[in-house]
Amino acid sequence: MANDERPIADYAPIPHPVSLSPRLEVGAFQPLSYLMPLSEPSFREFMPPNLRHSFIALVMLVLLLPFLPLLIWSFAQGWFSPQLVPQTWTLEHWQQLLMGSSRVLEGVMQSLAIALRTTALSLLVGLPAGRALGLMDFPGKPLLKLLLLTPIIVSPLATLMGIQFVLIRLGLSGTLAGVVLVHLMPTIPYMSLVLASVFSNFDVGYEIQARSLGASPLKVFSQITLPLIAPGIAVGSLFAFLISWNEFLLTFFVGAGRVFTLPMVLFTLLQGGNNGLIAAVAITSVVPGLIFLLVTSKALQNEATLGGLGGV
Amino acid sequence: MGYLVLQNLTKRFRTTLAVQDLWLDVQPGQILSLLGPSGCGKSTTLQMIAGILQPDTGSMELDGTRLNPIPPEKRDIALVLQRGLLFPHLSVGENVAFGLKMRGINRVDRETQAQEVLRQVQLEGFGDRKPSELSGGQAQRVALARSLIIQPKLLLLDEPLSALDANLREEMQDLILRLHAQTGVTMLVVTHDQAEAVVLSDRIALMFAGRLRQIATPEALYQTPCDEDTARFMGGVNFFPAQAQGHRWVLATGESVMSDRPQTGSIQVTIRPEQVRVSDHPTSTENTFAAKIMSQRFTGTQRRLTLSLSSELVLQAWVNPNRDWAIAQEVWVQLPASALWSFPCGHPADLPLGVSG
Amino acid sequence: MTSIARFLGRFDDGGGGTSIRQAFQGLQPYLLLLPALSIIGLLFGGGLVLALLQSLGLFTLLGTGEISLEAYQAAFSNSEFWRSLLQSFYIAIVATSLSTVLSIALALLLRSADRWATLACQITLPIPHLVGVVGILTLLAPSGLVARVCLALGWIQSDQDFPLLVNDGASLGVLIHFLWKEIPFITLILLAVLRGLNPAYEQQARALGASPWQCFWNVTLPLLKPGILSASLIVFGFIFSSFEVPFLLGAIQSRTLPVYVYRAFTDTDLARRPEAIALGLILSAISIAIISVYLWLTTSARSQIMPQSRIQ
Repeated sequence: MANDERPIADYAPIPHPVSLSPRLEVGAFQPLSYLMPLSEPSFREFMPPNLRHSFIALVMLVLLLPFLPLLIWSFAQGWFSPQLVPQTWTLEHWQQLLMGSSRVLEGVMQSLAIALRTTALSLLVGLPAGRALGLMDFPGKPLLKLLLLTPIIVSPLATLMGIQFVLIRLGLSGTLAGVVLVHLMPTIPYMSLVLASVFSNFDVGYEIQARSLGASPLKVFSQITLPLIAPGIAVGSLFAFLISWNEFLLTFFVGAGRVFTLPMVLFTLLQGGNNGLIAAVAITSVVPGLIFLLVTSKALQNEATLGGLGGV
Repeated sequence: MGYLVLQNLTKRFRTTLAVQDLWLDVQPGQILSLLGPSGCGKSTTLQMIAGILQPDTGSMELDGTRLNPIPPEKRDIALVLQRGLLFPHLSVGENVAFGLKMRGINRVDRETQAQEVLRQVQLEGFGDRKPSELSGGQAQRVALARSLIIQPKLLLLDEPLSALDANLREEMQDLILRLHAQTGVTMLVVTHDQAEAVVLSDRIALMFAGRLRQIATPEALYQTPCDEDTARFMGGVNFFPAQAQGHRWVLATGESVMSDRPQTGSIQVTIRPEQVRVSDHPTSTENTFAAKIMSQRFTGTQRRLTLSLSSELVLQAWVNPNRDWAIAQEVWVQLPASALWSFPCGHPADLPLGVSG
Repeated sequence: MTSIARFLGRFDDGGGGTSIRQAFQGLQPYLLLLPALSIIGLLFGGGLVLALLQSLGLFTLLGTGEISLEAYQAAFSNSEFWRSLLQSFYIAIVATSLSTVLSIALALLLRSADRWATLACQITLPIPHLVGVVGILTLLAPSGLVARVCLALGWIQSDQDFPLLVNDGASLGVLIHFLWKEIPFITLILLAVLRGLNPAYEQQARALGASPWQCFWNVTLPLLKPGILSASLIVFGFIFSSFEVPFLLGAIQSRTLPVYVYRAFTDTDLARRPEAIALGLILSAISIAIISVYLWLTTSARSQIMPQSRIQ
């Protein structure tokens, strides 16, 4: 690519080689592949396909294993050692779930409310941050990037203890708003990282072309930029949602017992001994996350989205 | 007054001066090439005209309207970037109709017009395809269609042919010229390939290091380049120091030639390789010298000969490809007086800007 | 290119406001990062600052209001602090290294796999840690499913004979949980990096005579290094700071640092509060120190590899 005299705009962008649809150029890099059909080291050569597939199946099995007893427990009326399967099956745990007294539905609603708000806010804040980190080069960038990432690497315990009395003073302790606020701490970094990754593979030339064809900056953003970074937004939202949905410690500290999310329900139940109910609630906690994961699975496959996570 | 007028354009990037004091004057309906090596500031100039970059000083006018304060989308200028850059999430038809959509044209009209323009670039029926299904040449054509559909006052092309295979380049050159003939749109083409510029343009503006060196017709750049850098960039190869005494120039190696243009003092003489005549027997008495063939190369359209005169002066001649020559063959070269060109010796920066044509 | 000013449609002439415009353009990345950084800075950074002040004796409920290092003295002199620190390191180092190595293998295995296989191997990603803990408990506890299967198969005589895997001294349950959760996470990142690599490098290596193993060891692995380093950094930081997992799956006698801090903070003796906060800060400081060392050791590796390895 010629044109080394330019930056395209007045900041100095990082030269990026890939647009989101590089199919036109792909044919160019397979010159030697006819010589060596298996050119990339993968287990394709070490193992015949059947062995490989069974290995993968084994891994999947191991990963899914802990769910088995959970599933069984949720339908069991008392399942004591050394029984391999419960003697009596029942639906009562699931029924109890739906009743208000178990506070499970309340937990689901609270978790959902918090997670959705957290995701939306971190998206709002993470988009410009991701753009700056992914497209631009500027003094102090590595430091600022690191600062942005501290909440996910450093334990929030000290921070929580530190801001607790401020939150109490501000009247945010025990409120939904307060919990959403602290949930932003771990979600913003992940959102920014994913968006930075997507932006670093984004060719600003698309925006320039669109401007040249008569699109105002707002139109450029909504018609061109947004659709092209949509996979990144999907994955970032997935991460943010999951983090908030699964968050225990932060909610525990700031919720002061008044904000009752699903993890809180689970934790409380764990102090008791009703394994069946625990199992049912545990399974329930997993469902929205799994749905979200399936929906965004296509976007997760896009290496442009996640490749940048490997560049922290 | 021209259609596109640039005056005193300057652009600085942090420490480098990308464009210095540029001025340009393009007549309506003309094709002008901005030609120069990588880093000479031509793409920067293009981006300033398109509105992507703001110049530090200077003004730009299109059809009498001052461009500087106008944002890119309102400038009535279409920019086609080197990489084509068809929006991957839109179909070919939607890509082409994009400019119309931005102008608020309704869907039915948009689609009709898009189909019509696709027909003009010989991609009829491609409207429903995705950009990823197109070849490089097809994508470039769609990019052209996308810009022409909005009937811009000025079309800017950034290295339109450099990403294409050699055989596609010919086709694309023809297409650009044909579209230009059909629409009459004023075009500014940026390129680093002098052969490309020569084929496409009515006039060429040659830039080195951010400054305009010469602006002239292609013929003038070949035959009357303003300095040695320009001559070399345009593919010239024969350069000899000499002393000029009016019409008679004495080369440093001793030969004496008669030229059409009188000069005095120290000069650098040049003659284009295509103009050097090579024959078995001397064909005239003027500027004729005995020479020996040192090497020859067949390029398909020419035969490139390297010849050495008795004084050890080495000359290149590009002749008719049909005849084969033998190494060490003794021949006669003739340097037509009208083809001899000279520069004053000295630093190119001291030369006044050559403006001709 | 689409700076905030242009979003708002403001434009000025190439003439007069040039220096202001240039300054603005130069500031653009910082402005884009501002929302994200200020939220993180305020919440996280602010929290740390407040924690620091409290640990020094200010703002406390029972303190004298004077700066003192008593809290830190108390913290460091407690031998349990050192024990828990050691325990945290042990778990974090073992879990991170094991999962990283296994993830590399899994990523290679999945490199050419289809979407469903890849998805299935990432199934544990959306699972909350709490649910994972419950699952592991029901699976690996002495009364869990695996023990019962062993009993049924006759491999052990009674549930006392089943090796203690949860709430055990070696924290095996904790380690297993982290492997189960983090391997898919690291694999996800590594897969993305792997698939984004330019295959030409490996093709070239093979063409020059490298065997699949040599190609992997000398070409693929170094190219993967930045991804491996970032992923393992994130995972290490997370495991080191994790609270709920060691709390529920670890043994009482071998607490990790976060659990120890939590216990101190929730101690009914409010005079211990500053000490607890001091401990929390020490925890954060250690995390930051580890990251710095990690980054310092790996900066050179990253700068060499990153720019060229992507598909051109």
